[in-house]
Amino acid sequence: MTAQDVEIVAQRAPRKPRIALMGEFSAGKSTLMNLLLGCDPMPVRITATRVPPVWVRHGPRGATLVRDDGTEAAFDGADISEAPMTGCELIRFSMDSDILNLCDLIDIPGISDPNLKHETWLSLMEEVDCVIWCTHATQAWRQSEAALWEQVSQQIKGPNHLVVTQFDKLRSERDQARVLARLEAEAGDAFDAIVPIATLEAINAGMDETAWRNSGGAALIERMVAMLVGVAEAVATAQEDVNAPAVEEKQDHAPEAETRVAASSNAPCAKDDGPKVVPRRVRPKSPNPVRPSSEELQDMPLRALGGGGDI
Amino acid sequence: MNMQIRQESKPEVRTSRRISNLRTGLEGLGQLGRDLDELDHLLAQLSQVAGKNSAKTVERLRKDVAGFEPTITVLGQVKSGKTTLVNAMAGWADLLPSDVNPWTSVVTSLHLKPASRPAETGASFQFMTEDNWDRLLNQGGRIGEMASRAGAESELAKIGEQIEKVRAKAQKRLGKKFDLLLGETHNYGYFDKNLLERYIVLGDDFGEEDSEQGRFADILSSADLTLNCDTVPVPLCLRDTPGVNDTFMMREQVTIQALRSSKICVVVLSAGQALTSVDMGLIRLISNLKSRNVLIFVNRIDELPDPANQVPEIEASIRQTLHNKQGPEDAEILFGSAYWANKALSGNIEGMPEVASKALFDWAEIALDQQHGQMQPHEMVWKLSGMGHLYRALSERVIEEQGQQLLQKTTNAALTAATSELAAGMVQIGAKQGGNANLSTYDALKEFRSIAAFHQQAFAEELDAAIADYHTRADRAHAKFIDRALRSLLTHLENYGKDIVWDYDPVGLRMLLRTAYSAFSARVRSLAQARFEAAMTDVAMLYANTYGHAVEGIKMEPPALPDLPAPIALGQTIALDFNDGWWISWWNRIRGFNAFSKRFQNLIARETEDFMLQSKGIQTEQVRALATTCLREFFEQHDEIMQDISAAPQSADIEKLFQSGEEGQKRAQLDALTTQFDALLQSTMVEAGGSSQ
Repeated sequence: MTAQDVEIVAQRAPRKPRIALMGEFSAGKSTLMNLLLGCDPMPVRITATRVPPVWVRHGPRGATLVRDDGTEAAFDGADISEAPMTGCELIRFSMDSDILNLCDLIDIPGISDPNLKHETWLSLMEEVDCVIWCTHATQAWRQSEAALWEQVSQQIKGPNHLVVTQFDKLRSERDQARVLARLEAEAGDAFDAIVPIATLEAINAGMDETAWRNSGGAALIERMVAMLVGVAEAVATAQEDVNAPAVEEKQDHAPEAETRVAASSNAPCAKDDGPKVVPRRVRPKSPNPVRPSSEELQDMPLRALGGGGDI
Repeated sequence: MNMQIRQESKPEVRTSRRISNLRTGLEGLGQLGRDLDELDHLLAQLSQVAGKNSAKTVERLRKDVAGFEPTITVLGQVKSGKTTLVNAMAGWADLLPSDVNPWTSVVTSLHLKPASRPAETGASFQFMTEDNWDRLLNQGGRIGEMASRAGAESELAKIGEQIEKVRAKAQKRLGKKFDLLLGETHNYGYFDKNLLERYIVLGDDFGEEDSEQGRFADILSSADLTLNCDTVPVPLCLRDTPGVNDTFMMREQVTIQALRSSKICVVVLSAGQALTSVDMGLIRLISNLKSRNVLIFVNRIDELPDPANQVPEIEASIRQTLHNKQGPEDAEILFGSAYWANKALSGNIEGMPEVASKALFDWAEIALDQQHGQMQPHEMVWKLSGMGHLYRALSERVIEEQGQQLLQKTTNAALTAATSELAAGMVQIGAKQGGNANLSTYDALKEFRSIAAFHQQAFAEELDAAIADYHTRADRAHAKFIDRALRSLLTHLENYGKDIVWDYDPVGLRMLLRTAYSAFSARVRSLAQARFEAAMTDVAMLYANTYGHAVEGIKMEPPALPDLPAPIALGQTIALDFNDGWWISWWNRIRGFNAFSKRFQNLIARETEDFMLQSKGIQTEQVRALATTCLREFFEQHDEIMQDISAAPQSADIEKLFQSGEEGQKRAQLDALTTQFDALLQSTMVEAGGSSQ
């Protein structure tokens, strides 16, 4: 299968929700992405990683560069960080990972990198449904983040999450509570939920369920799955077709525009009247491949961590 | 209300253990401290034997020495660890309160007094004046624009709203007291945690309401704490700023306003996210300081999983960005952990989280060698914290920029005072012995004053000419810039039309203006040198003509021109600096091809008006004031000497003086002082030579 075939297949394939990971550079976006994917395709470095936006979707492992002029080329570098920054608008990356059955993930270049202009990816935001905004616990939610989010959040339907990374760097429970309280006061209205995660602990948790729960990784994955189920449910409700077997098939005859309108009922504006999507409330009405059972929710992180992505 | 003095026992014990290497890095300042102490000691002796008028000069010199307090401003983004670093530098782990959330919103100055010159501990809190409020509201720091932060174009309006809200809240809380407090100062003869929290901790809008905490914080304009510090060998002022890039942008405004008076700055970065565009904006704001006086301290290496490998990587990345963005490429970059430093200071190095202690061991592998094997663990932690390197870098700059200058200038003036005092004696002896003076002392003083007037007048004219030339050059640069930009604009329109936004980096204008300014200051320097030499020669001639051989011993040095101010105004942003938001909307508003060039000219002229005014007017006036004061003080000192000499005692008195041996004693003392001043001057020259190698 050539890269173009992948592209054609991808275009015909059902439209999955697209989740973008955003935040300051070095805020832990790529690490979180790797955590969600269960392997390490994203380069992680202590300094700014300069890579174009990476759109990750389900499929046989492969990468395509989309250039500024719209042309595409297969990219066979083993390391995404070798992709050229100039002249390249986007990297399409496909691989096998459980979470990609539910959604596409898009890694957006970090903001506040003096060597990058954020204009390059702003147009991509039109394609995005939900955002996970990563903010580093010890310097959480600064003006540069708040201002950019204010600018782009209007066009994102949501639900959107503020993930507080490296939460273990806050050294006491009191400190952790204080930072969360400030974030709730300053950014609570701009996001559907604020989720802390001790990123490194989550990665190192491996098969240790307790460590995984304590790191906040479990809660994050549960939330994401609940969110995706919520998006799918919203679509179903909009179609008044409760028995639609799966998002994939449903969307085959659902125009994209409709999907988006439907999804927006879960956007922040719905927060006041509609019930907030919380994992506990999600109970599958019928066996449904995209709607994991509660056991599956528990399994999810482990599978996400262990499975997929043989390099 | 204005003066509340309460004497209390000393605040808490600072260090539970003595750390023997606490002063590492401060050796240079130690020598400077000893030199200054000796100078002061000699000046005290000189003032005993000096004549009535010269004594005034000597007292002024002593005041200069006593007032020596180099200031170090600590800058950075919110929560980069500025306060923790300031505490570590002051050698007192929890001196200033800090928190996981942004905490203070005032500039807090710590005045550290060395053991050799102890002072009363105390705190002074200055409340805002109406002027302060106005300045906060109207003088936008525009750092958002510098950093191309999203939404930068509407930041000023937002800042305005925030500040009005703070003010209204304070007014509501304090009621009638609010107006009474404006412009007031509260002084205390002590400070402790409660007092500091009451005054400087703004805290947050949420969580538990503490009635006392932050009672005054939102209407405070500055806080000054004076404390005795065993570590520092000379008085030092550390200024902790609230930080930039907080969502509460009043903090940023306050920080930026503190930049104006800063000569040496430490920019604190967080190792986990070194050098963001906001840091870059901050560095650009201070980029017209000598780049050597901008130190970059990368804090929080304790949070790195692998410091040994990551530190070099971070440094390379910072250097690359500074290079790409025309920042101060040769700025010194230091790495460390204020957290470790405070752990060492509080003697509590055991209770570190795993990551921090793993990082510590990792870092120790490369930062410590055999010779550190003898150290106590907490001394090793102090060493690894990087504080010694920071101290050393700051010491070098303080000595080079301010210490040597003060020492040499003051010692020279003291030498002149001492030797002319000797000469005065000789003149008096000469007068008694019939003398060989060609001029009467009255005429001499008159002649002296006409020389002084002549040189000051001539110097003023020379400065005028230099300033006028600079204006011409700056205007030409400005015109050339507009012309070139316009041509580039038209080419762009021809090639791409107006659908693609054109941008033009004003770095060229800055370069031209900066070159013009350096040429100007070089010229002022050489004019001053020539004029000061000429003035000194004329005064020396006059001494010789008036008093003959008697005054040959007077040691005269032409006055030394202090460092001229750096062109800070050039750091100001103009419309062209940012090509998002504001500029794009301007671009899109303009209709029609021809309208562009006319409007563009107007826009640039308007945008650069303040920029040009600053560098052409205000800055040159500062230079003028510095240069003319320098010459004026020189003449004032000699005026006093002339008066002392001419106030010759009656013959009968002299007879008595000689009989009593008083004059002889005084001469011996002055001779000894002269030798000592000379020796001090020689040794400082050697030190200066040594440190510049």
